[in-house]
Amino acid sequence: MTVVAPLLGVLALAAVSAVGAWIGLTTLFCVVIPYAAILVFLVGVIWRVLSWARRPTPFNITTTCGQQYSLPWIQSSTLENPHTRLGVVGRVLLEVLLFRSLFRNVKHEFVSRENAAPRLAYKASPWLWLGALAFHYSFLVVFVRHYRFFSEPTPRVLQIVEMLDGFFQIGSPTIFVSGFVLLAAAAFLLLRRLLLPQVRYISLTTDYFPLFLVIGIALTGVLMRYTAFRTDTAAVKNLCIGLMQFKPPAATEPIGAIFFVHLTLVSCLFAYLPYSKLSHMMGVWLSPTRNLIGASRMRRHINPWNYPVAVHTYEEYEDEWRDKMKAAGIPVDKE
Amino acid sequence: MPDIQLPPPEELAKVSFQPRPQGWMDPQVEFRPGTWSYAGKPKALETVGMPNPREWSPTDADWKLPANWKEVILQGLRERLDKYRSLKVFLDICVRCGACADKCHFFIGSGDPKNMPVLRAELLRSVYRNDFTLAGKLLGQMVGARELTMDVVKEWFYYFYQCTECRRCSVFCPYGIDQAELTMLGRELLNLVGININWVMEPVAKCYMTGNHMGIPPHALKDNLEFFADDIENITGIRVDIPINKKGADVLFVIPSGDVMADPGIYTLMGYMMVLHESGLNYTWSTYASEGGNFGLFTSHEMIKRLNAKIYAEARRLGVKWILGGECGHMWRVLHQYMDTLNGPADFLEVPVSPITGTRFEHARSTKMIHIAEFTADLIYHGKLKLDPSRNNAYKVTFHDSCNPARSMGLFEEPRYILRNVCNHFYEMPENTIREQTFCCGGGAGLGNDENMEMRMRGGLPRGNAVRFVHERYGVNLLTAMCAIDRAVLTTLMEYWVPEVKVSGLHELVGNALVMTGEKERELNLRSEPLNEGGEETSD
Amino acid sequence: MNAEPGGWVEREVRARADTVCRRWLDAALAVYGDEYSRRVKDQPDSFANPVGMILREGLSALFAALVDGAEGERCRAALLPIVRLRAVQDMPPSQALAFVAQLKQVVREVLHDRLGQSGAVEALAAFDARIDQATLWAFDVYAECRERICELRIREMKRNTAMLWKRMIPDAEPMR
Repeated sequence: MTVVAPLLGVLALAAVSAVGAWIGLTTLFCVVIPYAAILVFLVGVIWRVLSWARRPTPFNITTTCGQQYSLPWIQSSTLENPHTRLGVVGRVLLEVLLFRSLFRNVKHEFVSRENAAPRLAYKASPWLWLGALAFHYSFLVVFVRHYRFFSEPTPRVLQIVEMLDGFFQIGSPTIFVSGFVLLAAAAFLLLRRLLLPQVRYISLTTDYFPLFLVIGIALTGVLMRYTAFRTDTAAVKNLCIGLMQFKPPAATEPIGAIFFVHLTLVSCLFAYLPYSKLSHMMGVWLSPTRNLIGASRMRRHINPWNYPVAVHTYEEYEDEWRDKMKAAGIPVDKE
Repeated sequence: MPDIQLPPPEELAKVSFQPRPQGWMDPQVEFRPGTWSYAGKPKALETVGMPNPREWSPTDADWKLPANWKEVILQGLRERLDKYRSLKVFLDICVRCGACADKCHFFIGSGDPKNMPVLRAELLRSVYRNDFTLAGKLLGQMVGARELTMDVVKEWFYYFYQCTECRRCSVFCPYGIDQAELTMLGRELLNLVGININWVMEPVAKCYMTGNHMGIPPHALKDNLEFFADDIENITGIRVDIPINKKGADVLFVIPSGDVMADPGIYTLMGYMMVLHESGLNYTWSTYASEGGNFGLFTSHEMIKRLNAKIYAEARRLGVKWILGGECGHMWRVLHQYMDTLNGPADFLEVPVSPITGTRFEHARSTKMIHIAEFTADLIYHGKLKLDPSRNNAYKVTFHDSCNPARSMGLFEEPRYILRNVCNHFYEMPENTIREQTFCCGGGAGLGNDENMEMRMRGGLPRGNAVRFVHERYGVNLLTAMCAIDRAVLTTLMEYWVPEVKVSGLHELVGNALVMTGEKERELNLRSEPLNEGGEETSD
Repeated sequence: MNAEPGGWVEREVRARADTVCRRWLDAALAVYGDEYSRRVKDQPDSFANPVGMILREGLSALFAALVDGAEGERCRAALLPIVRLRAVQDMPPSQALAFVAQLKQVVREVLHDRLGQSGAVEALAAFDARIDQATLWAFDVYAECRERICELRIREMKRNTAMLWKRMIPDAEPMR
């Protein structure tokens, strides 16, 4: 159920958009839904980020993963336990760009004691980290590459990206590695969820849905580019530029059902992103255990809602114990 | 061919294993002895004015909650979602990648899937989804939303008190999601309707009234310190002074009170007294601020503030310049990350400067409190302490990084520097069990009580296993830790998993090695055992 | 044919020690849920996975002791790490100690195509008897571990109030 429902959901979305193409609902699927999705996305991102940013961080709860800044002759760990703002920027960037914390899972030191003498050995299990990196970076490249549909002429930067991405040129059309890497990485993440009992146990419908969505998008994209389902890119570009300029072409030439499916799934992904776990894209920047300065004894962290509380004062304490304290020769304030 | 027929394999000793539930959504908790802690006593709750004081037990069917318990908890969650960005972000962005799953010592030792940090968080997150997100309201269980029922509350109690707030999972989380923060807030919610454990509430109440967890009254504190001074005199021939509540001292010294009462913490305390005496620091003990530890951390943020207030208040009353803190774990989380925010600014104090070395502790320039490991490391670095590490030759030492000084402070090198100067045999445990990846003792966050023993042994397995390795490989026989709870809990843990290894604090070893001016020939270590025999293995 | 050390069963299973130990580990892991046992099996890091290490090493040691026809002392020593672990995990004693008897089934599975040989049944019965003996020893160790836990509770309470004891009874034996 957890797996089948989101799969059926994505298939249904695909079917509906294919039917839409068949009966010619071009305006709905190529104009209305994309616009709506972008609107929902933008509103959602702003709402989501504000919903976090407007909430205070009352305490400095940095997770310190390295030596603190203390005595001058002890080397402190600038990136794992930053005591400056610059260090924090570095720490967050390492987290966002290289998945630093996930990388910690990679190195394993283990000991085999088959024979009496213990022996230390190392073994790496980099799969989750590598899979995640491959997934996110290939997605980024694919995303950036699509900018060519929205710009005329194609910017120079984009041409470089495409050149690098299409490094393994085998005939025509140029094979872009990123699309296949994305597909493979998404499949890996899905299989991991399905096959590792531990991860399967914690997975919810909402973990499978975005994976199926991304796989659907990548699959239709690859089909359009490399197979018999090839799409009229000129028509697509015409549509995209039109959408960008808020002048959608009145009557586009028929583009093909598979493009409808692709576009609808992309729209869904955009609309879904800010309201789901995919909002980690923004949230990772705002995680208080990572983006606060570690040296909390050096500067005072302010809690905006800090309020006075009832305490047991020294005067009350001394009143309760004065006789005993005097008898024991402990100095008191009131004789 | 023999006539005897073998029974087919499947007819051999059959063990029917308990069927495991397929998913985690249906709350079900069985309170088996040894895996949970006794409920808070009404008297303790009344002392600090906490809600719903009553006699109850987790094994009761009826927990005697107020009729509107559900509204109270949900309202409490709503308020906290507005007050803590951490809570909201952590509940929103988890992708359930599973990186944290096998990082929790309780999961490693028990195999209970709800001990995976991600699932412990889902226990709270599922209720959040149900009542605070649109998807949860519309789609319910399909998107992992659950209604807050009494069974869910019981499950919260069971699992939030199976988390030692050690923060190891947050080191591995790609978004820094910190289960300790969720446990703290989860327990805060439970406290709103009077659900808590006695091993937390009793110290809270005692700390509030007498100034320390053990409930040691002022005259008894003085008696105990004098007792230690007698022991030190027996061992060294030097009479150390015991300044108490002394106005005009330069420094207020605050320790975890366990060290005044519990073996082996008392030897660490003797070490403090010797180092402070020998350094000539003009310091004072306080009977009012006689506890740096703060079980408010395991109760509510408000209680942290209420219990912590006495430290700055006493520093102000006594007119000291700065504050020095002893070896304690969660105490230092509060001092490092909460005290200044809650009860500061400490503008009436001065930036800590060691009068002996002249070192200005810039890194504590706002909070004005330093750790005794920082103080002693600085003394040793400047050659102000005469040390004879061979007096610890009976010990082969390994160092346990306590969770809070490790992952909420980053105090890694100071204690190691000290250790290398006070003993000749120091061996590290494997790298994924120390420093920021250190494994918990299994008894932090109020779980170090004896009724919870079985769960503690499970949770302490990864630590015990790493100690066993260095014991077998290097002959390690002493586990040193800078935490009062560690000293109590690890001792028991070692007695179960690695009985050959004893536990000490850092300053016990400093006290052993310290050559005091005018001292007599040392024959005994601080445990009053003949020097260089104390570390011998005892029979199990 | 008898089942003295070096007997038929011993020779056969010793030649297949890896297979036997691997299957025995699988059987011993059946008490746990999939989401745990899979990790215990796959995670090679002994420090991240102490349960896997204890089971793997403990079963190998016990297996070696049994095929060697070792004395009680060695068998108990081999049993201790696993039983000490199982004694604090969430399961009744019958499940905690089931792993010992499961060796019988594993041996039959591994040797199933050779059990028709003459003398096989008697040899197997003798080996079974040794496994039964180990099961009984396992109960001894289990009971000792549980008693140890009770004792630890008391020792810890005394230590945590050590100063009360020292002050009230100054000459009391120091607790070691």
